Amino acid sequence: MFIGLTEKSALLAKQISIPPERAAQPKSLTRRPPAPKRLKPRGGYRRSAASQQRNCFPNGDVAAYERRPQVRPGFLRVDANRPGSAGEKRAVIEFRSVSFHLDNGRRLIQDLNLTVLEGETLVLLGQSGSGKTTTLKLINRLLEPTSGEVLVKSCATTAWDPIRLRRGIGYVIQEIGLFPHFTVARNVGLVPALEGWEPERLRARVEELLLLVSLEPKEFGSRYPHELSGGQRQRVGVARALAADPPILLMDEPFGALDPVTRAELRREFQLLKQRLNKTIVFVTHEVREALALASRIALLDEGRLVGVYPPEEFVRARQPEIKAFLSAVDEWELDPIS
Amino acid sequence: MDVFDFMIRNRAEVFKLTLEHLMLVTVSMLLAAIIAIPLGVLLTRRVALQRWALGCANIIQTIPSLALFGFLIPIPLLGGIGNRTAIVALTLYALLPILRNTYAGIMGVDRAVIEAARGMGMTDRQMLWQVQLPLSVGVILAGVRVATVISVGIATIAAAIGAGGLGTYIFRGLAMVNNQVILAGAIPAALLALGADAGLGLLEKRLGTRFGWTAKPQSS
Repeated sequence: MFIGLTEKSALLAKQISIPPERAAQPKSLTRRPPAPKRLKPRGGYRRSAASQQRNCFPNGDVAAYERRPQVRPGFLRVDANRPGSAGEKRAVIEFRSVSFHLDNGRRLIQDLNLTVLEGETLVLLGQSGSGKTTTLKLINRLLEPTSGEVLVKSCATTAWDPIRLRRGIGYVIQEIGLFPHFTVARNVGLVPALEGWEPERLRARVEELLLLVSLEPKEFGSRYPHELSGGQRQRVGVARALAADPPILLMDEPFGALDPVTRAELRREFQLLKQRLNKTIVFVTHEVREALALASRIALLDEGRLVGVYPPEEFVRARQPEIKAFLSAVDEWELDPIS
Repeated sequence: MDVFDFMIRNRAEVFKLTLEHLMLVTVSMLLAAIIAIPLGVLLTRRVALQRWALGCANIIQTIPSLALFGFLIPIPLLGGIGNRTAIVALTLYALLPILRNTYAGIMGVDRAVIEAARGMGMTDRQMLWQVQLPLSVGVILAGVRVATVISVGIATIAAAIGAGGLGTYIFRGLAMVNNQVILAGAIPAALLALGADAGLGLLEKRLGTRFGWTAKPQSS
């Protein structure tokens, strides 16, 4: 509640337009809204000069975002010239030399450079503890980089208002995190409700979404999460993430807690769904088959470092020992049902 | 029985003392809730305060009640003879259970739910009102319930500083070495405590179900 106050004042400060001559004054005078204290890492975060000079329109100025120049192919450090990855596409998410350390000094992410292109499904693959989830949380600013910067729509996440940033990014986690005291319909309609949609539009959207994830709205809309099976719950979780039609979708092992049959079923449906939706998706998994089935590109992480980014067909042929280790594990999973 | 004879003969006084007792407890519980619940919420937001606040509440809790009443008498504004002092003391005693339960209830909300809420772009305030408080209302009320039962007991001692209540009978009975008079104060006090416990328990269950806190898995 008290952090809420500072956030509100931050929003107010953002609404005040700053004339150019004032904007040129030192940082302390330009009323840059203070970041919520709780989110800030202990050492504070450094912002590179480059990101401050660039024009940032993080708070919904879509037109300005559309007008901005296309990313030069040479700018993409990651395999822009490889076959199968469209170098002329826009980068929606960029990691620039990102490191993330815990307060106790443990390094979870080290010098990560990664680009996620518009409309692609990038799968973050790695063992437990390789920093996949941390990477994901850096994108919607649940965590802030210790050094380097994460750019979403070419603005550093630290320059974004975190609330606006997160409402534009769908987020699905393994534990789903449905609100137990809300009905399915209210869970799904949460973000639109926060955005202040009219009840009629909201209801129509919820119905549409439930149908999209193959749940009958009349039957399931009024149920509570504890009245659903695990697979149904995860469907609701996906529907909730899609509710406000965010262009970016982050999925953290969304099918991880499900039994293999349900998992394969949901994965198949998700494959169809993502073709229809045309979202930029970052998908975290530790399962190679899932990665191969869903990815446009696979980014392999190992102990907080990026081993490499490969299209699925190249990933199978790649020779790095880390990848071979992963692929040899596939053979043991032959019985796992997959589409 | 002689006790009940005594109570029936003096029913007007018993009734008056019970009302006084109830008033002491109700007012102090409301005050304690108004102070401790927001403070508990604050503690979940400002971790640095947590040790201090819980420490202070703990210390207050360890002061014997009779001594606390005694300490308060010479303090201007808060103290003196009468029920104002008693209300201050009872409020102080009720702080800890409510504070601790508010903190524990909010911190105990499923972490996945909190992460989902943050990830979807809820502001801190929205998260508090729409997620954390509804989901912890049962635990918070349990704290209020414990505090109420405790203060019904402690309120009997308030009679020692002239605050009235059922303790009047107990002290009078002690002075007269008359068990009937003691029991005439003790029995209604015990009934009050049981009644408050049951009533708040019911409320806890109601609100819990309403907000889904105690929602049990049902076959569907």
